[in-house]
Amino acid sequence: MYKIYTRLWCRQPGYTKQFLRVMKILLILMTAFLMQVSASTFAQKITLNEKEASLVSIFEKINKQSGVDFLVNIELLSKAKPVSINVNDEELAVVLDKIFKGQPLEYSIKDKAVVVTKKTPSFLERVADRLAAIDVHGRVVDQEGKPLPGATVKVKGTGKSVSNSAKGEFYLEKVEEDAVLIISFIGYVSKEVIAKRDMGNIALEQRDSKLDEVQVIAYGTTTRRLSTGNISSVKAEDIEKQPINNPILALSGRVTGITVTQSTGLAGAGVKVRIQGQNSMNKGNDPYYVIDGVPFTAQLLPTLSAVLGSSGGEFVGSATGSGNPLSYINPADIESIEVLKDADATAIYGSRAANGAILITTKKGKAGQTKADITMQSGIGNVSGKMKLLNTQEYLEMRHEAYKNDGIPLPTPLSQKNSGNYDLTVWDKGRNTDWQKELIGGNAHFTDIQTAISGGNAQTTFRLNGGYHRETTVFPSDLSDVKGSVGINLNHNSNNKKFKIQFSANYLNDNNQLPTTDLTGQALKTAPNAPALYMADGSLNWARIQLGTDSISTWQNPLADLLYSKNQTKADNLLANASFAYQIFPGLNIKTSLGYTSLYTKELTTGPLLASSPESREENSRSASYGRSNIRSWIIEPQINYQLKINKGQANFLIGSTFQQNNSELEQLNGSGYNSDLVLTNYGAAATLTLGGNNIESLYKYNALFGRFNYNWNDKYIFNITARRDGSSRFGYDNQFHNFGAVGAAWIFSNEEFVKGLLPVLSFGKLRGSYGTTGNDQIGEYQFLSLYEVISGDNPYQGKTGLQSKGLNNPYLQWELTKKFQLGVDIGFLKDKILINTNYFHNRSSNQLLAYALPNLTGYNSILRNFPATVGNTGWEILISGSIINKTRFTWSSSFNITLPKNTLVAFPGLESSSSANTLIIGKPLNIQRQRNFGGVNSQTGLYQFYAADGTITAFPKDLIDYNYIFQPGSKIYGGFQNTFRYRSFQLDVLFQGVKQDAFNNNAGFGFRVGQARLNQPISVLGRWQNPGDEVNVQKFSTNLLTLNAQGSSISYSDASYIRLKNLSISWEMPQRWQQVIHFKDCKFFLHGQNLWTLTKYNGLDPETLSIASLPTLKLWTLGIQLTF
Amino acid sequence: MKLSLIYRLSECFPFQINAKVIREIILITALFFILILQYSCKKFIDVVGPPTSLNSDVVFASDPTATALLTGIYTSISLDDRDGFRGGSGLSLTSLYPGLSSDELTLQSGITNVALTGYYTNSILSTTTTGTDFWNKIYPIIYKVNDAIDGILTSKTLSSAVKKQLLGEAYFMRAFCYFYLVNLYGDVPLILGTDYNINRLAKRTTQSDVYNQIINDLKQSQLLLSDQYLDGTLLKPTEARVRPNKYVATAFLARVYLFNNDNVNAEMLSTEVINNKTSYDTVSLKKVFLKNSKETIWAIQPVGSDVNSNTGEAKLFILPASGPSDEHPVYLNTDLINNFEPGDKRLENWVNSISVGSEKYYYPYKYKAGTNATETLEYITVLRLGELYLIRAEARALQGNLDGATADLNLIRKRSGLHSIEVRDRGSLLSSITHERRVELFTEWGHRWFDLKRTNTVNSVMSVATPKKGGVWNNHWTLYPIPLVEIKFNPNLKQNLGY
Repeated sequence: MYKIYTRLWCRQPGYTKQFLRVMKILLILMTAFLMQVSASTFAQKITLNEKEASLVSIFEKINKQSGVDFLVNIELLSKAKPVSINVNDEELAVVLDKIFKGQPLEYSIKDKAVVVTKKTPSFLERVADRLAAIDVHGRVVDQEGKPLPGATVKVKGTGKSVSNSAKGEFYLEKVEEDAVLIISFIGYVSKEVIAKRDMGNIALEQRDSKLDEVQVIAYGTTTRRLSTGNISSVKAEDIEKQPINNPILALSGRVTGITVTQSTGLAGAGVKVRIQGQNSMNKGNDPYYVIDGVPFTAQLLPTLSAVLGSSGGEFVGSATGSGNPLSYINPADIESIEVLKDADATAIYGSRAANGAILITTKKGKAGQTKADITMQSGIGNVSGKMKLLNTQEYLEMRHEAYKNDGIPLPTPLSQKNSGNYDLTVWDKGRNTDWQKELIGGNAHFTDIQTAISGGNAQTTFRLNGGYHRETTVFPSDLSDVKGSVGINLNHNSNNKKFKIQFSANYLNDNNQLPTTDLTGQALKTAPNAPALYMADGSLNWARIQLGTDSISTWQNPLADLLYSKNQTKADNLLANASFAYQIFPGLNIKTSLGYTSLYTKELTTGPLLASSPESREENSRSASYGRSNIRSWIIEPQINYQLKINKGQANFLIGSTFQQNNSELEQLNGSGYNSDLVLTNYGAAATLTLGGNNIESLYKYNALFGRFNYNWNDKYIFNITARRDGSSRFGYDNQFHNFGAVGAAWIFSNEEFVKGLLPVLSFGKLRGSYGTTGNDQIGEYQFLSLYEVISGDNPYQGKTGLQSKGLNNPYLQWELTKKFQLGVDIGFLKDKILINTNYFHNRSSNQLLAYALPNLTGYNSILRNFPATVGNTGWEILISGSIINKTRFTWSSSFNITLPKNTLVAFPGLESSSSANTLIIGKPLNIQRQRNFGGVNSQTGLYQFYAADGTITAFPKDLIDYNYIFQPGSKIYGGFQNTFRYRSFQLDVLFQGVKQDAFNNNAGFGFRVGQARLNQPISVLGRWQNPGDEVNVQKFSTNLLTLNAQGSSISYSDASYIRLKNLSISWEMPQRWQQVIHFKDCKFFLHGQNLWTLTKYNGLDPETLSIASLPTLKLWTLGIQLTF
Repeated sequence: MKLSLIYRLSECFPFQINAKVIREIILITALFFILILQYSCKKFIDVVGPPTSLNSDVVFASDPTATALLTGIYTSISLDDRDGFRGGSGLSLTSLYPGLSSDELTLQSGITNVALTGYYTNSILSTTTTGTDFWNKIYPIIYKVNDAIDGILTSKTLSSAVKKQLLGEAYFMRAFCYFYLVNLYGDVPLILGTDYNINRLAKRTTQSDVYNQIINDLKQSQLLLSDQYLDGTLLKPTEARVRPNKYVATAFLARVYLFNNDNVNAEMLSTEVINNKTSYDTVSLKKVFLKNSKETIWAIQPVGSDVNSNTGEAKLFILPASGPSDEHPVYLNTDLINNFEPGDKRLENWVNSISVGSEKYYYPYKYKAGTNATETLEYITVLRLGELYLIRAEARALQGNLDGATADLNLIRKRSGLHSIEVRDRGSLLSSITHERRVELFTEWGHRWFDLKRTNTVNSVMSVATPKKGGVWNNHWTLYPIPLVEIKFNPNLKQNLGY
């Protein structure tokens, strides 16, 4: 086969042929080469007399004389030898034969053109070459002389290549003398050298520019240098430093334009992810997740328990579960996570990626000696801060004062006892328990072991991995989350490098034992003088008293549910994918990738008798619920990729197609009537089993054709067009197909000569912009179909079940459309030691899917409809990273990022008459809340008062009308600051994360009434009103004050910004000579910490979860060792 | 030719020399994308509905599924009737709210439920949800009926017998719904299709036009419906009278004609039903409301089990020993009790009482199977023969056939143990019939409220009755207000006067 495939067609000036024709002829020519068309005769005679003339000048002369065109690759001419010729009126063919004699070139004649190609050696020549061939050996090393095992040595222009040994040595047999060897290694600048017998040490220079790191994009890869889109990456080295159980948490603070919010500190917690803000008013806002090319669910199906918190799911048609599906992916198996934000990067995903895309790439094997990695770490996690709450003395003072204010005599142990006064009449006033310490003050133990064996040669690489992860909780119980995972990855190339296969499969099994209720709320609210948890005999203390003939419990022991009720989720997650690629001829590749994922979960919650108080055990019946869900999806994506050189530019065409199906199934059963607590796990033991509320069996089908054209002219001008035609089963028959597309362009101005001269300090400069459309199809299945469901009573009408319509169907349903415009400037200074990356985004989402309010006349009060409301997201993203000190012994690199987002409701025709009239305001963010406007405490009455809409002050603001305080939750500015220091073998990484936000604080205390029975309060309530004339912000204590509370008013909202030491990592690598002694390739000790320290004015437990009912994100410390041998 | 161009081509600035080339690149890319965008593969992404529900194509394809649609409508009306006052909604409350609005029921003093006090004291505010109960429940039934009619008419696979019966049932149900809407709200939008884009802007149609539609629908259903009561498969006759048949439509049409002063037809159609002696006959007072009694023309089967296996009326009206409460907020108006003639056996059979302290409360006792019953003894009777006799009596009297009218009236009186009345003048005969309707049909489907309005006695009666209930009567209160949100989302709707 011919190795040269990029050719140039040359014509007379003013005769520039249509490009289309060029392409056509090009194809014809290729065929012609294969047919080895021999020179046919030309009528012209040639006369030449030249000495040592260049081949080109000869061509020019022949052209002049005969009009014959030459088709030639310029590169080839450089190898041509000068020509001396003397012919007179000779046949063209004869002249050509003379010219080409002894040249490394040959020619053929096609039409009126002479096509010049590289010479195919004849058999004899090959034999001669063979004899001239030499055996080459050498060693590839880095700048410090350390060997680089696994580097590739390739003979230029042939398929011949080897990878070098562990010592960095290579040996190549029978290489043509003067052949060019290309030495390449990931992370190093490739080098071309002339082959010699003994090459000695070949030193490769490290690519220290982050700009050249591989960046995964949809259906391909690029680099930061050449990308036209807005893409951010997090690599394995950063993920590994964080003791996290969900890989998506690694993005927090590291990536611009994305917010990652964990909803509780429990293992497997819900995580809400938003890229460049909220686009959809009330349908899905989740990014599109793709793992090794296979789409992965962003939300779990509805779960029985809500203890793990929400992942921000907003599917229509069915609720979403608590927890996060990405917690079923092992962070240790991940090579990189890419966040695709703008239309240029995501439009190729069409209707699925309006909210951006997150691409997860798993680790692959590398060629070289087989190596084994083991990483073991273990540590503890706990709740980092406590809320300052009333102690018993203060609590009792509050209670006494409340009774006094209410004019009710203070209950004493002799008074009538009831649940409103057990704290004063029954419980020991001398007790003072710190319930935060008792209930959530424990240490969660964290153990993680990851192993991997990888290796291979130039043809085949493999990686096998296995992992074990166990995490316990901070609660006083032995609940734990245990994960086991295995994975395999195989890559193989055929001998001639034409055929490539890749296969990987990752499986994870999770057994998560959770509490049925999060004890955090009880830890904060339980009265400090509440009874002890256990009796002296070790049984649970119910603090029982005798009331008449009844013996009753005076509290619900917080441990009862924790110890006896079960809430467990078992999950099996399989991700498998394969791809087959074949190179038809250089530049043209076909590829098919196949993927399958299956996420199976099995859930159980139980309500045993032992969990309720002894006296209610007879009344309460035992119950249990069982859930099984399965999300399966497969995808097939055939692709054709064609690369060619057009002019000085590299063009890349990609066409592909997607066939995808998702099956979602969920069954939930509720059991009752068990005769023992011990049989609750078995649904066969239930006397009655009923179908739960959420039962799903749905199918999502998806088909698309996509294409991308990328043109890179001399690494200066880069142009990218993507398009996709999408068909989704989620939409009405008339709207199943839709087109999406984007245009992106970049100008690397630093490669312009005038810029180089003007700004020598500038090593890299790129201006880029993109505009395009993407869609959002997160509306659930079957929304457009006219569906009927069963309606029946226990005693069916005439013994038959009936059918009824599920609602108005809208066959015209479409996706929400997001138009994204982004501009960016990327600048590098001082040989790219300092990189600044700036982005401006301006996104507009329209065609919003809303429940359009209808009069009941129509049969229903709403219909799901596309609505011309527009949501805008604009903002700035800035990333500055730099290598500040780069000495042999000491390096310091730093990275700072900040995002300033702005979300607005741009337009909403008919807002006043819609069902959103009271919740949305045009020009304000979507998530605003209207609240009462706090007007302080009336200094005479001691009661709360508020500003009414007309500005007057009132104790009784009217509903809605007087809700004139507009609060905007969510982050207004966020960012991160990362520093990496290395001194000899020590490395220190520090990541700070910062968020500027307002949130619901607990300024007015917990609950409705401060002073109420058995409800402890933050110490801030001590600044309450006591006497007429007091100017304070907390109203007087009362046991039953029925006036309005301040909980939902402006006083409750205040600054909750925070700066958090998100991650700290210290490692020490054993010196090499020690490692050699103990036969390790690498041995590293490390200390990792997560969420270590927080600076905030927020007065709750955690400014991230912002909840007083769920466990805060834990502070984690782990100590570990990483071994490679 | 200049061969040196070979070099220049690649070295010079691209935009200068290659304006054309760039244009060509654009051209070729455009071509390439047009190819992509024209492509589609509809087959691959077609989905049928989920296995957990049925698609409209499937529903109307077979007899059993199409039948299930109408069964679903009866089921939903029946489900609305569960749990007495608390669980009841929509049509099932026709026995309660219009009864409160008229002089039939008394609301226990101290009850603060806004809906109950609104209806009772004739002081409904359009800003509350009171008065919306019927509208918001009946229009969705009309949607389901219209949807069924569309689907059945276009289906080519239904057997003709089933198709006929189902269409008949659907037309009947539509007429039935509109009858109540017109009587409760006056002019109402006449919705006959399912397109929400048209329906959401529907204007109010005059009562007479709505009645024309009701009459048309009932005439059609008369022609389509079977003579017999059919079972849930529509294949076999059954004794349960819970699906409309030809006589149900005829009986209801008789009522509609009476309400429209078409006395000839009212008499003719009621005679048609009365003469079907094999199916219908008057039965003793005790047996009138038992399921499948010969008195029953059409009833709705309670679909609940255990405590919900009987009528919601029984649970609502039967007072516990402790007397009226939030759960049982009403009892019979003393005026009604006093209206019973001495010796009227209906007072002992259909009325019961309980004494709490010095207070004696009379309550409707037509349905006797309350929360203590576990077996289904009674169905919710919608149409019965007693009413047909009274319809015919009134129609005859209005036509001057006083003998015939008196005979019909006396038949009902006789069953109640009352003496026969002599043939008198038309006026007093008509007032006797009105009286008879009051004591015969009390707390059944709003008869009293509708009778007061159609006989134009509502203002004279209520201007006396309302002040006794603690309200102020106004001529506008004969109609309930249209729900405010309906007007908000449909600019073409105008509120009833006075609200």
